[in-house]
Amino acid sequence: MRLLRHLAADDFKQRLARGELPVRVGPYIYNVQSNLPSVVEGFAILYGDFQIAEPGEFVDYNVAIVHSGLLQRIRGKAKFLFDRRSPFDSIPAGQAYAFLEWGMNWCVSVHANEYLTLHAAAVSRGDRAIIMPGTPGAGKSTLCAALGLNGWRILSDEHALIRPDTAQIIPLCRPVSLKNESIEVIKSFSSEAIFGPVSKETHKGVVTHMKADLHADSHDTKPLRAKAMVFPRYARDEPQRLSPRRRTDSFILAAYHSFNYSLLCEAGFEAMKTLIENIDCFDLVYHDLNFALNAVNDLPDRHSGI
Amino acid sequence: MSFLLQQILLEPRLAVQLNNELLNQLLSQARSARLLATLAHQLQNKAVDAQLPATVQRHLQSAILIHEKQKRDLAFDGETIRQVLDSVGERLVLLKGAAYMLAELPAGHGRLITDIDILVPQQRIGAVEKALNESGWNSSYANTYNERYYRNWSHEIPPLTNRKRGTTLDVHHNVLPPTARPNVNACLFFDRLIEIKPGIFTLSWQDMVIHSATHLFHEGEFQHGLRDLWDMDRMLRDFPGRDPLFWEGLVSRARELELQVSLFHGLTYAEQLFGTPLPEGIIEDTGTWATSLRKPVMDFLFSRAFRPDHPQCKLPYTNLALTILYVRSHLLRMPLYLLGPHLARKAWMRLFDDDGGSHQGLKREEL
Amino acid sequence: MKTLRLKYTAFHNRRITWVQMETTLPVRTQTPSTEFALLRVTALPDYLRKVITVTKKWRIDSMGRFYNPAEDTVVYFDTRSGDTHLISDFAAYVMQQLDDQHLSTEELVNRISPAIGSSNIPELTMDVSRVLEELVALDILKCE
Repeated sequence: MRLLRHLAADDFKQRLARGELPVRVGPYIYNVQSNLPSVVEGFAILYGDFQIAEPGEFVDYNVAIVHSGLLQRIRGKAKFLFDRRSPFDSIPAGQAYAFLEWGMNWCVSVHANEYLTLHAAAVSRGDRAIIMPGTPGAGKSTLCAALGLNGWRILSDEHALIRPDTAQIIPLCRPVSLKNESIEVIKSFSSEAIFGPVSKETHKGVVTHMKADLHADSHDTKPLRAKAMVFPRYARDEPQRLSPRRRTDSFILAAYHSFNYSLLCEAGFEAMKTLIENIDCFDLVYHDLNFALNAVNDLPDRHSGI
Repeated sequence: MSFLLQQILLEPRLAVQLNNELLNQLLSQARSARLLATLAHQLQNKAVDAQLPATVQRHLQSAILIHEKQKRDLAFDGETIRQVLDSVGERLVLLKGAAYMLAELPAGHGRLITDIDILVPQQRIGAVEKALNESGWNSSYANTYNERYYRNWSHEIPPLTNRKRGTTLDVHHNVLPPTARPNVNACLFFDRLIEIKPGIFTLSWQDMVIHSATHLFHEGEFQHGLRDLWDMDRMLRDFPGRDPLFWEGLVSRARELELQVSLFHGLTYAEQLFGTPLPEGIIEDTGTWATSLRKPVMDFLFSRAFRPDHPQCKLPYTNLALTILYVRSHLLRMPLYLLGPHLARKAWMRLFDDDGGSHQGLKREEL
Repeated sequence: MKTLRLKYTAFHNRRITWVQMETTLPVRTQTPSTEFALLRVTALPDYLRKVITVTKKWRIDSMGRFYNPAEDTVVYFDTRSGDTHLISDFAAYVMQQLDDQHLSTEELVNRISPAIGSSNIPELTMDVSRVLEELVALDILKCE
């Protein structure tokens, strides 16, 4: 089983430039292509422990981030390509790495309809897996990164893939995306955090990515049983608390933060119902990261489902 | 020279012989042609999909889910629109993809649509638009130039969006712009409508084929070109079974509508790409001396336009062909004295305005 | 700076709503958290208002699915529209009376009042009417 870091530097660079680098990411295989130096460097840092797929395996997503043409190179622009076509406008080359990661997210958000996909982080410790839906600005990724640096396994920063009619999460571990102040927060939190390139002036501000596969089992593909759903909310002026959240409320909020709940119609409703019935739901309001970590570490296990 | 997607659409059983790399190419070509759900349906139909690897099946299944969701939404939205039109005494007449899907035609199997297209008599457009506005369907056009373009020079009003549901509705009063040649008499369509469900109508089978051909061969962009041609192929294989007189009246009907040249192109390229079975001599019947003269040039242009926008299928000079066809479509749409200023204005807007809209007189893609 | 503009529309994201039902019934209705206030259907636009009279008959074309974990709100999935709603348990109860039934407001009230032990018919009628109005606005209910 070959990992990316087993490739010689030149070989890696050439394969990436030619688009001959199929990488296993959770249940999928991405074939990645790029000729931009920041992407080559970033990918080497953040995907070093990912497996290279065997030749002849089916590639799910062909992605690339490249200058497309001389004019683009001169203008300092790059494009994200999916199946060699670009679904998005071109972007400044300085933001290329961020856009590769966003593009790779988009592939799953839009195509992975064999699962109920929630816009959520998912982490696990032992046999307990926790889903953390991502209201924008709520601090999901910051908390996810901190948990990952604190002994938790990061199942995903962006997509909680739920197997329908179960409460099982399918791991899809990729780098954690951190923005603006969160970057400094995590840097001060732990010196063991490993970061990729920094993209400035994106539509979300300053963005970088943290290596998320720090755990021995990070690339294990076995599904894990979700035990809880925690809705994090970073709020400087509110008292910190971890409190139970009603199931119906949680259902609605999780559905709102799902990429394909509506697309799946009844199957989506049933999948969400099965999930919510079998987990406990909480609100977590915090402004101190350590409070949040302790709250997640000590989550009550009131679960009484199947 | 055929390409992979074409071969498998016509003979789905060949898919089991493909290795993973070719399967990836197949799916990739299908996605770029907006035919992934169609391909999935064809494979399902011949029970081939179950023989493919699970990693491939999930992508096909995903595409089918999108199609099925659209079909359900269409049923709901169609009924809402029907009620609004009924309130002003108009019938719901569906066009294109929405028609194929609701009528459950083979052309609707696995079809994906971006919006719902309907046909309304020109003199009733005002009343219909008002009723739709009052029911929550509103134009998202802030830019007055685009708005004026639609109202003065187009055969449709600016697209209306339902605020609650996010569905887009295109209300047409004709199949070609009033500035185009030929000038089509839209009243002729209303004489022959078919009621596919209570209160829901489509064009007659012959008119549906002629409309599809007209739309395709006056179009400037071909992201949906292959798909539209596939629609025609499916219709031409299906309709003779529904109407024994289908072939008999097709050419004369096209002449009556002055759209026989479009039909000529439609029949020619459906047969070329998909081997559509056609009665002997029908292409010659629709053709003229002019079409025969232009045929080598048109073959060159359209053989490139109908290929998926994919490196593995693209023929040399495709970009040139697409540019020529783009200019051609604009020349067909409006005379030069109007076209020049229009294109200049569009170019200006593209460079300097950020109207944020997904329509600039052209439809955007959907998955 | 130009914002990222997607050329593809991803998929149809149907409506997911919180409906603040103004009911004052035996079961206390808890309001959903304030952060989602924007999604509440609290005011009906004019074009959605229908005249509610007690003699009109109500029906639900095809009953959708409920998730009712014994809280005071219920999740309802409307199979026809594909919308999902968070409604009060009272609204869910009213809807379930209309399963395969065409009932007028008066008939609904007469059915419900003994079941929930309310004898204040005028107040109950107002509450039921309000709920029906909200359900019509959500396209769940039809009136004939």
